[in-house]
Amino acid sequence: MDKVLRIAWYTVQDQLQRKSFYLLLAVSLLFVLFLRGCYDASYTINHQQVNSIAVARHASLFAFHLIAGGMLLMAVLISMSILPVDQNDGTMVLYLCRPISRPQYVLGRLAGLWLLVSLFMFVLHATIMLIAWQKTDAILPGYLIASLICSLNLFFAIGLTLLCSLIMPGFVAALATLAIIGFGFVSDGAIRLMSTPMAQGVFQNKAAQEPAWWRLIYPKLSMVQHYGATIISGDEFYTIGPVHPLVNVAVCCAIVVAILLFVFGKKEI
Amino acid sequence: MELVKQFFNLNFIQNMLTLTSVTKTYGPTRAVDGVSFQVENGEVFALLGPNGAGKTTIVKMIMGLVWPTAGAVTINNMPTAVPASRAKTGYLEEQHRIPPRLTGREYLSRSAALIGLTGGAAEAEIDRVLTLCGMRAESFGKAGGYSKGMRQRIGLAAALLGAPQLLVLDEPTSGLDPFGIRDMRQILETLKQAGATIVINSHILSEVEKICDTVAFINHGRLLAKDGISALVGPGETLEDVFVRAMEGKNG
Repeated sequence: MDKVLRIAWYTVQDQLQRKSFYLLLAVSLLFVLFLRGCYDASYTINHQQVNSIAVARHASLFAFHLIAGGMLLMAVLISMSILPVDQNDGTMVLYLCRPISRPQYVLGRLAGLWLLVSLFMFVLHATIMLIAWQKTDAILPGYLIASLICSLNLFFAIGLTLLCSLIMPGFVAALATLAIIGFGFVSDGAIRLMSTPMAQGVFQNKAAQEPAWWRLIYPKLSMVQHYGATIISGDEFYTIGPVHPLVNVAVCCAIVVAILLFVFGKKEI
Repeated sequence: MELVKQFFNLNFIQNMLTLTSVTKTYGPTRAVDGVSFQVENGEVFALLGPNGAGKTTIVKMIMGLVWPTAGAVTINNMPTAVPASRAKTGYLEEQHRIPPRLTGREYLSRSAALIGLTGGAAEAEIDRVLTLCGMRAESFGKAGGYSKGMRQRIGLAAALLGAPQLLVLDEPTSGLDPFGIRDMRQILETLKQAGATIVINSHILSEVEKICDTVAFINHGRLLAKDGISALVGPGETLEDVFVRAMEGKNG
């Protein structure tokens, strides 16, 4: 375990030496600071002043989704080149010619990336929460819990990108991962839309009410993010099928890691 | 003697490295074809063969970087799939690569930590191997600015960390100038006197002849011959003569 943690720590150090990481950090913080303006403005709808706490809640929810989605993209972009670069620049040989097993190496890389990206997302979410608190005196207690929940999505995205990067070029691996995740978002979004009373009124057929079997087992990253949002908003959570999306994504993570370890175990260095 | 060793199960004491009928295929190509040999404790062993003979594949299989299609490779009687088999093994790859973002010292620090050396002990060991390889002053620079020879020296320093029992060197003089080659020979001679087991894959036959006890000739993935240098090289001959004869398939 200490070897996995050591490699995870080296992974964090390696990423912190990259200029692109600081560029992404700066862009993200700039975006968060721009959002401060949303809390300062006063909103009037139909000649009625909107409650500032309601505005803060909606702005914070929007920011929550944007950060969680943006971090998925960032996780994929950071992960796509890790293993190919490690193989080319001698990092893989550095680790694997020592008493380090291949699972320890891969898990260390995965854990390091996950810790870094999750911490990054947590800091951004915490900044939004603090801004909302400062501007409206309203604390959104579920915000940080929701952030932690969304870090499961990041784990899946990193694991899948690492796996894809073993069998295809890094950029293609990133595109493939984004396509898999994006398809889930569109599919789950459509199902959520179909579950609204208005849509159910329009589509009075069985197919609209009972999703196909593959939709039940498809990685529900969108649903996990939605679940996090319901923790912040306090709204009722709607899910598909008998399995909670957290369990679904956790099982998908385990499957991806198992395949990743198997494929990397067979790899020629 | 062999019977006595088998009877008392003394192989684990004698043999540092054992390859048993090792085969590696890439599609229809047999890169290594049923190679078997043993390297005893304290032996300096050279793998010789032309380009594409399968030497680097054998070295990579010894280090667990490539898996054999058939057969077994063991270090200290442990299969190379077991990470502990590399606990006391140093490895220098052909044209050694160092992540360009790291300094030589950072690279060695990581290598040391991975074999359990940390803190003051690691610093002392890093200073020792850097001094031995003549890279102490340059070790603070980023590896991205190193020449091929400097990377090779840092690679050798990493391989020497923790006084390994088995040293596996794939073309160790690759990229080194004549001074570097001389230094490398002196380091290997010192290690030989200290009782280290060394496996060298090299093209420079004159260097091999000076350092090694045993050589194995490999061609087309097959082991052609393996014997002590004194037994192979006759009076008035050089190792190069024997090598050429072995590769051309002539007797003698």
